[in-house]
Amino acid sequence: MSNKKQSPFEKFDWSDIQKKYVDALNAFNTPKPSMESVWVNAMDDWWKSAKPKSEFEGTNIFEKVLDQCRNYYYMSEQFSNLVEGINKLKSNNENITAFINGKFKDIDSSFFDGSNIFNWNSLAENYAPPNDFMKSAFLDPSAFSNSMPHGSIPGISSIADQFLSSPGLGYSREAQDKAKHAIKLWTDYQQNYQEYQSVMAGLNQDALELMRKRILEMSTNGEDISSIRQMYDLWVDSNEKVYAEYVYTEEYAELNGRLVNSMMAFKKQSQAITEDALSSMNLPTTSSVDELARRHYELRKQMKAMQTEINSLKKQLQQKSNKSEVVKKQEKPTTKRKKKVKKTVASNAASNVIEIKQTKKKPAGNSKSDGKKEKQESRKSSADKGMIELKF
Amino acid sequence: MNPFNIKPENIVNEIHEFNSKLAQGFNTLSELGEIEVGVSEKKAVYKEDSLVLYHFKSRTKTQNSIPLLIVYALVNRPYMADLQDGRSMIQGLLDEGVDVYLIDWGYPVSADRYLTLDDYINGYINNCVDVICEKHKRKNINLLGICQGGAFSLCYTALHQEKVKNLITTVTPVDFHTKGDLLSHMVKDLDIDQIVDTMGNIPGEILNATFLSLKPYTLMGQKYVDLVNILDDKQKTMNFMRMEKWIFDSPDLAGEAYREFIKQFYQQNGLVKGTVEIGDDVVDLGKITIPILNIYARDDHLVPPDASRALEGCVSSKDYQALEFPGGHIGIYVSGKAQKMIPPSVAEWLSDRS
Repeated sequence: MSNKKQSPFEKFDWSDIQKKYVDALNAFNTPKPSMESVWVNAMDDWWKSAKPKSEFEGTNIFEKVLDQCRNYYYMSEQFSNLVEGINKLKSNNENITAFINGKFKDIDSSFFDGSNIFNWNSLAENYAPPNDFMKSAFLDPSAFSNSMPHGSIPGISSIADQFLSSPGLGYSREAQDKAKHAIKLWTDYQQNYQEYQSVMAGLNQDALELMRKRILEMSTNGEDISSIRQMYDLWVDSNEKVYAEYVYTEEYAELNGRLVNSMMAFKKQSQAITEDALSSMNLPTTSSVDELARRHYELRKQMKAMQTEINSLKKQLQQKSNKSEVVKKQEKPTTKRKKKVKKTVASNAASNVIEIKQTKKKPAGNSKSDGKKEKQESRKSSADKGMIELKF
Repeated sequence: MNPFNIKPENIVNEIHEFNSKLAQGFNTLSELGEIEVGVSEKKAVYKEDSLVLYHFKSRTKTQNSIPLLIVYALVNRPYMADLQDGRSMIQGLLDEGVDVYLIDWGYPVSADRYLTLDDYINGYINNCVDVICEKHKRKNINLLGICQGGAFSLCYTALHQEKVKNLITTVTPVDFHTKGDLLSHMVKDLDIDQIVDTMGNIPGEILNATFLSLKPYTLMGQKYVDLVNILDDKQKTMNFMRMEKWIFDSPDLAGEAYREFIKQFYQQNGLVKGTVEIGDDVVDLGKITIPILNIYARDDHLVPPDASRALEGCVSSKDYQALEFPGGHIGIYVSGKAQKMIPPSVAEWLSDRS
């Protein structure tokens, strides 16, 4: 047995780690396998020549349409191959079924090896949520977003775990810890993302299987498929059905939660690092702007509350003022009228009687005594009720 | 039996036809010009922060004496209720003699991230109601809530019932935990606090993506292949583009309001449990006694019918009526069927209670 002291690095397989590192770097630059199709290429060529130099409102939507047409053309081409293959067979149910099964088996296996004629995986990826919006909406400019790949890097997780377990050193140890924590959160997110993608790929396979069964069922039931578009619709419908069944499960809710939460955790940490960098340059940070927004909000809320209070007080004052105006108006004419009435009563009782008659609508009495009594009652009544009665 | 009744020449013809439509479609799209939305004439009568309260010009000689305030959701834009001539719920209501007001929440900016549901319900909605009451010298008005705006209208009514004469809810979620509520299912395990603390306001794109992910293959793929088939028809293409514009015209959501709404309504199902807190008040739907018309869509994939129908068991209104529309969440406002059914039903129901 050798007495040679064991190197602390001996447990690492450096060549393996280096290989993984180089593979990981290469993964950034390796383009995804594209859909090779004559029809797709023809359409792309046409669009290159037809595309206007200036953008107009319809350009974006047209790009969207073309994206989907690429899928449609690609799928159409593959299905036309399938149809052509079947047409070459002798009219034998067993042969046809076997041929369809074989073709779908090819497609199915393509989800794993990525090298076959169909390349359905990349087709399905165009639909699978939440790729695009997560990249654009969640991973916005930050210390990491531009350098962190969104796809998976094989083997990186174990390397990162080893690296992250080492303690920070020296003057910048806090910054190192923050960065390492961010990388840890990123690898968590990557794992969840890989799992999510894997599940989605599985759903696409299930959808193909459902589609195969439906085609065979149609064959048994004497129904037929008479256009490529019908095939495309069948593919969409099968995918929706399988997807809908899965997303209602607890498993999906948990996975989706884990994916979004891990992404948020990473984003939050990367924000913190960005803020440190900005603070060191004496530049405004999200937190400081948020704090300003919060204070602004509080002040504005207080101001609105005060404005409401002022309006309410103004209203109350106005109401009181209006009331006193009414009382004044009521009082002033009463005094005047009283005087006037008194005067009138004193000077011209006859005219007052007419008024009273109008108000009271008493049956006309002819006797003088009745008239006197009426006048007396009227005066009494007027005094009790104010002049409003007398006005009528 | 061979299930494929397709000859090679048919395939070529089909693709050729599709190609022609696609090429022609490019011309149609380039000639469309600006996509105009919002057809009915209206006037801004009140503004506060990003909010604008609109009053629509009447289209009839006589009108219902009680004005109707439409409370739209914070998600997407309210012109969906007035999309185009002949496809406008508001136009239909105006034609039926309803005096219509509409709250447009606008586009929240980052400074709005601290707005809470209290600000929206006891602040903005209440202020709009006061403005209308004062203008019409009334103590109360009619309220019509759309989707999330319906949930807001219910909260408002529970807290300020004296100001609401009649309440109409359309495709409004009440029970957020019914079977088939995919949105609720998708957010159940999300850490909402972390999302809001990280994002501040919630970007409209995320909400869009969430809605699209309910039916991804149809909404992100098949829809655009379908479009090719109508690209030779300028009018149909324009209709499609209007909807497309509306779908992707998504304002950001004020962070705190989003936090309160998702946690209290979706995750805790607080509206039916009576635990929703708006400001200092707890929303008790059982306090609502005014007449209610609850309209829901039979094929709604965003707010399942059961989520809306639950309202009946939560309120104390003796005058409660439910109306089922045979269509989806958006079709209830823009489809031809809806134009014939919804505005006349609402107008008649209101007229009977005016």
